[in-house]
Amino acid sequence: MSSEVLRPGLSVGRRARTQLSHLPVAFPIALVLAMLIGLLYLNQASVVATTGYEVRGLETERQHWQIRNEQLKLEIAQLRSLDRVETEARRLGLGPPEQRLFVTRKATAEEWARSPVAQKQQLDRSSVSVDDEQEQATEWWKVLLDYAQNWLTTRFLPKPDPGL
Amino acid sequence: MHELHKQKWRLYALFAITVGCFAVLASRLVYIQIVQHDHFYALAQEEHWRSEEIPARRGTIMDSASNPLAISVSFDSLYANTLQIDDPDKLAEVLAPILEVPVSELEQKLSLKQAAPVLLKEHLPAEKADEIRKMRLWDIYLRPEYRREHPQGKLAAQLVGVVGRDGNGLSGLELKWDSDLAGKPGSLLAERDTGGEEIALSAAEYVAPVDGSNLVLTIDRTVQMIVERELDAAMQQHQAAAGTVLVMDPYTGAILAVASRPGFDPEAKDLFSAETVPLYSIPAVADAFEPGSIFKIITMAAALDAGAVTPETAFMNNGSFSYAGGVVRNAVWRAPGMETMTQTLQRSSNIGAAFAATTLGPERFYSYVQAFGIGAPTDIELPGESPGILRLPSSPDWHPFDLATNSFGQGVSVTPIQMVTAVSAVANGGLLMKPYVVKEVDGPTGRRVYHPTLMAQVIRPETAAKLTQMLVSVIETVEDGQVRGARVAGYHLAGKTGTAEVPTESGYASDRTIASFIGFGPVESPRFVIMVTIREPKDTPWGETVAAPVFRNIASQLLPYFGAAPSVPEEVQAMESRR
Repeated sequence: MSSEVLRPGLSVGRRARTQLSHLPVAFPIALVLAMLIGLLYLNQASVVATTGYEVRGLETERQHWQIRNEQLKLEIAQLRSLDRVETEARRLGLGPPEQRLFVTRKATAEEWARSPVAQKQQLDRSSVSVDDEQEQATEWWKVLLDYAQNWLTTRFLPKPDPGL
Repeated sequence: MHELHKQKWRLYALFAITVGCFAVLASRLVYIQIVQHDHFYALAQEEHWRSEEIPARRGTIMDSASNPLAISVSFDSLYANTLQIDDPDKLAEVLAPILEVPVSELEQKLSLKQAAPVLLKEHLPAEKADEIRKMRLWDIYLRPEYRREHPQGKLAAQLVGVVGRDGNGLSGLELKWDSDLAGKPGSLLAERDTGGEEIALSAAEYVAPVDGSNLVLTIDRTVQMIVERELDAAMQQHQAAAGTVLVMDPYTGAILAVASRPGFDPEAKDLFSAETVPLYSIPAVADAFEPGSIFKIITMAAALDAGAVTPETAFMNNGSFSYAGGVVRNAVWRAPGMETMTQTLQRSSNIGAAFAATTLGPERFYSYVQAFGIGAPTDIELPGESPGILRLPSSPDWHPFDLATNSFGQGVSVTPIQMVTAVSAVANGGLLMKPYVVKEVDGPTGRRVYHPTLMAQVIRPETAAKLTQMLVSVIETVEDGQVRGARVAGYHLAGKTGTAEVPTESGYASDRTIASFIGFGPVESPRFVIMVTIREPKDTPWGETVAAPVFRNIASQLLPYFGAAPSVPEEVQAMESRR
C-alpha cells in the first residue's frame, strides 16, 4: 500500500508484478516461520507432556510415601499395644509389685477438680431444683450450719463403721 | 449392434452394483453414525475418559487415651491388564515367589482374557510392593486400597464391631456410627492415553473425598484388658457357656470397659463365617436376662427411699412367705426367725425382698423400678439394645403375685447396661446418669463432644448412703467363718450376688443358672461399678463362688490403677507381707 502512495502513476499490472516479485522471498520466510511456530508448539507440547508425566510420577511417589507413613503409624500402634508391652516387660524381668507403699498428700486444685468427689458435688449441684436454689439463697444460716456440722464431723467425730 | 448393447448392459450392471455397494455402505454409515450414535459415542467416551471413584478414608476408633482400636490403613494391591499380556506363564513364574502364591494359580489369573483388571494379590506388605514396583513390569500395576486394622488385636472386638468387604459397618460401633465413620467418596473424571493412564495436565474433573470422622470412646484399654483377662479365666475355670462384664464410671455414666465371651478375632479369616456372625452382637446391651438377687438392690432402694422400711426393720422369716395366692421361698431353705432388711441383703433372702416390696405396694414399687430405667432402653449409642421385660400392674398378663417374685428378680428381664446404670445411681448418691460410650466425634465436618447427661434423681442421697452401707455389709460380713468372695483387703466395696435360674418354656431349668455380681467401690468415692454375668457355669451354680471372685479380681487391679487409696492400708500391707 505504501508503494501506491509514493508511486501513484504505476499501473495495476505493474503493481501486481511488483507484489509477485516479493513472493520468492516471502514464501520461504512464511514457511520457516510456520515451521518454527510448529516446532515451538511441538516442543512445548512435548515439554508439557514430559513435565506432566514427571508430576504424575512424583504424585505416585508421594502417594507411596503416604502409604508407607500410614503403615508405620499402624506399626507404632501395634508396638504400643498392651499385650506387646507386657510381653516385652516380662522379657526384661519386670512384673507386678510384691509390696505397695501408700503415701497421702494434699491434692492440687486441678487434681481435686478431676476427682470423683468433686464430680459428685458438681452433679449434686446440677440436680438441685430452682426452688431449692432459692431456698438455699434465702436461708443462708442453714448453709452455715451445714458447713459447721461437716467441719465438726470430719475433724472430731469418729467415722461411721462402713461395715455396719 | 448386439455387442454394443451387451456392453451397455454390462456397464449398467456395473454401475448398479457400484451404486448398490455404496448404498449399502451409506446405509451402514447412517445406521452407525445416526441410529447408533449414542451407543458408539458412549463407547468412545468410555475409551477416552476414565471415571474413577476415590474412596474416603474410614475414621479411626480410639480409646479414651486416643490409642487406635480400629484404623484404616492403605496397602498396595496388585492388578493386571490381562488382555495385553503376551506370555502369562513367564510372568507368573517371575511374580509367584514374590507374592508367595503357587505359579499355577497366578497363571490361571493372568490367562483370563477380560477387559476389567484382574486382582492378583490383595494388600501387599510394603517391602513386597516396593520389590514389584522396582521391576517396572508392563500391564501390571499397584493400586492403594484401605484395609481395616485392629492394632490392639481382639481387645473390645464386639464393641468396636466389624466392617464388611464393601467397607460398610456390620456390627458394633462400626455399624451404629457408620454415617460418621464412612465419610464421602470422591471422584476423578480424566482423559486417558492408549495405555489407559491418565493424560498428564489434561482436562479433568476432580472431586476430593471427604474422610470419615474419628470416634474417641470412653473405653479405657487398660481396664478393658483387665476385664477381658479375668472374664477369660472365669470362663475357663467354670466351663461356662457365656459371660459378660461391664464397667461404668458412676458419676458420669461413661462406659470404661465392656467384654463378652464367646468373642471373635477381627483379624481372623473366618470373620464372615456362619459360626462367627452370631457373635457380632453386644450382649451387654442386647441380651436381657432374669437378674435374680442382684435386683434386690433396686427393691431395697425403693422401699428405703419411700420410707416403707429402714435397714433395721425386722420381720419374722419362718422359711416361707405367702402373698396373693403364691408362696415365696428362699433358694436355700432356712427359717432364721427375726431378720432385718440389712440381713435380707446379707443372706440374699427372697422372703425379705418380697416383704419389702409388698410393704411398699405395687404402685410405688413399679414406679421406682421404672424410674431406675428398668423396662426401657437406655438409648446408649450401640446397636441392638433390648428394653428388657417389665410387666406392670396395668399389663393384662400381670398377676399380683408378680410383685413378690419381681422383688427378687424373677419374672423380670434386664440387660447388664440397665443394671449397671441403676446401681450407679446408688453409688453416686441417687443420680441416674445416661450411659454413653462415645465421648467425641472429630472429623472434617466438625467436632462434637458428648458430656455426661443426668436423667433423674431417682432416690435421695440419704437413701443411697444407707443402701451403700447395707451393700458393704454384704461383702464384709463373715458368714460361717468364710470371707465373702468379693472382698478386697484394705478397701470398702459394696455389692450383691445373684444366682438366677434360666427360664424355659416349662418353668425354670434346674441344672442351668446365671451367676452374677454387681458392685462398686471404693464406697468413700466410687470410681467404678462392675457387673459380672456368667451363664451356665458347669462346676458350681452360685454367684458367690462364680461371679463374685471375678468382681474381686477386677476390682483389686482397678483400685490401684485409679489411684484409689485404701481405707485400711494396714490390711493391704499385712496381706502383702503374708505372700
